[in-house]
Amino acid sequence: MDTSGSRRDFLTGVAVAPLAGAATLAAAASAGATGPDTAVALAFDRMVQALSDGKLEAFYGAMHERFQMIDEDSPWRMSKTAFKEHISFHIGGVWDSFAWLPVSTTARAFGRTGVVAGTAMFRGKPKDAGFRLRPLLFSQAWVQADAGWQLLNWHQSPIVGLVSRASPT
Amino acid sequence: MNTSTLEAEFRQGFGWYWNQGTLQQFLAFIDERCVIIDDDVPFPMDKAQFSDHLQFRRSHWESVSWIPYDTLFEVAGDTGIVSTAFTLRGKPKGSGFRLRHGLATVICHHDSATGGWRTVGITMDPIQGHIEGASPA
Repeated sequence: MDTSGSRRDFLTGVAVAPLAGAATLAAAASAGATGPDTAVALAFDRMVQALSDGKLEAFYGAMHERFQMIDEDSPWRMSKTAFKEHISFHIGGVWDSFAWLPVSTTARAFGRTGVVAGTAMFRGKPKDAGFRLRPLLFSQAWVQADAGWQLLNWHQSPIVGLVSRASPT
Repeated sequence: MNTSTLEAEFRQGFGWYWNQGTLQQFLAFIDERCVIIDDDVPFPMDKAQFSDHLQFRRSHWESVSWIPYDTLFEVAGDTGIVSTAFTLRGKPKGSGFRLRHGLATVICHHDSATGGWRTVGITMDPIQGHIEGASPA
């Protein structure tokens, strides 16, 4: 079993090749965190691991009931229900494989508020098209509840939008 | 703490962005450990870098404002979320007017010591990036 923590292809039940090098690219947020920030980083790392392990129940379970998402391929905000439906499309057989790989992250705690922000690579192989690399920046808001840290907000921003026409000349 | 106080303090804190306050007020609303993703920089910035970036940018505009639309305010415990669409618009010096549409998320934390909200995370994000290359075909 692949344990690189990098692919969601098996969510479809279709056996495909793992993404070589993914484990090298992905980085744990907790590795660089200290003090109270560490708990936020660990919550983030658990969510990422659940996603890459295909444990959707755990992945969605990390999200607050009022979770909102601005995804990299959608130009408006989504509720948790809408995001799950969006992911259902992506894992419904239109990809051979894909992965979400955080590369450089900062995790910070402010009381019971947590912030994780950084850079990530979304990459994979759609069916009937060449491979795709989509680098992005992201931010997340976490809240500390009785059951632990929960993800309240996730905003993904493709770098192409940040650099394209960033200046008037 | 509730959405009313979050909205009031956000609108006051971010007033400079729509020409209703000072840059100092805006920066005071931002926590020293805030992480910022701005709409025209492809890496996260800290507060000092963001401040420097704003100083550069404002020196090159004849006029500029940031207009939020369809803004939602959410509070969960001591966490506040401001989620909004926006248009950054104005007239750079030596160039024609600019309209830059985007989505923004402002993460706030309610500080029990001061009794007020402060910004701990900002993401300013052009819509263009969500459309361009969103699918392989």
